[in-house]
Amino acid sequence: MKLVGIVGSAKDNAPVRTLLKFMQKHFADQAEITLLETRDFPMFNESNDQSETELFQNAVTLIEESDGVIIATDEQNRTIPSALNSFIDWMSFNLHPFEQKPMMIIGASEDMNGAASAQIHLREIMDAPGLGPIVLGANEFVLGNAQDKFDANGDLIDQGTIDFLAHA
Amino acid sequence: MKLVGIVGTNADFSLNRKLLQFMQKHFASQAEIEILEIKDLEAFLDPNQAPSQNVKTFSDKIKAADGVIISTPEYDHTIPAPLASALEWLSQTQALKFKKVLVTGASYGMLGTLRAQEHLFQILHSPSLSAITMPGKEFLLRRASEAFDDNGNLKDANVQAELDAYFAEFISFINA
Repeated sequence: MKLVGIVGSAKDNAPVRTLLKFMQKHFADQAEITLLETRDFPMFNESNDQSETELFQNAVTLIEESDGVIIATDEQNRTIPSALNSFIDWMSFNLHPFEQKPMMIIGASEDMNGAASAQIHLREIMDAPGLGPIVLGANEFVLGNAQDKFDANGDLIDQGTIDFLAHA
Repeated sequence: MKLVGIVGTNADFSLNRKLLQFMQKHFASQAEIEILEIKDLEAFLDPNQAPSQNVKTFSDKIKAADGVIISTPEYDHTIPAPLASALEWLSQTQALKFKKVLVTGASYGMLGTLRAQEHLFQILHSPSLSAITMPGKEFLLRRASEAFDDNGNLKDANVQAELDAYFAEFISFINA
């Protein structure tokens, strides 16, 4: 089982990165999780299409060859960080690697809300034509005060949702 | 009355820029509108990053204005990433705090950026921005690629009237 974990934050100490690295380690016997950093990609600009560059092509290959994608989003101004927004814009412009891809949305933040508002926006974004993932519903992961808790509550839910992503 | 109009995209060609340019011309007797581009702003990454001179100038103009118009496209049912980035910078400088804001949007399709505007209102109301958006009316420029004539003026008189009323209300809102 190969999964891609998208780091939905450009911050140096992003709780979502800590969370994904923990998942990478904790679920190593169930899946190989490779992390993708949204901050490594340039700002989306339709007038300067970089879809054909190696950076983007490698990301697309990684996503397409995976069995599923986990997007861990932080929150800025009650929405997804612009670095994640930009990455999604690139992946719906001339590249469409998310099409029919099983996707899990999780969130982590330093405040108490665990990026809950951002996760709502992210689910709405994923409904847009040009994306097309199969987003896991009826499960949620909202990690607030993440700097204290990433290895504490919610791990059982995590296990259940990752198992759900497994193909028959 | 001094207003700024923020173009909600970094693209070379933009219907939202066209809309703001029209408003700048058409409403010149009511307000001076300076159009602000976001394309020269660095991408917002870590909050510890210091704002560049471009960002400071952008922010200062917003702080000094009597009101702000933001014209947003819709990419993937939300605001474009470059606009989100510009707003992240503004949450650092607090330039939009309690600033009166008018939201507009132009799109190729029939919903005229409805979803992007819904997200934009939520974003502007966040504690980190705390803008005062004008409630009630909205302005959605649908099928925007056909909306302007060769001189950049709105073709449809009804749409024109709607925009006139919308802008007049914003002026009252600022003066209230």
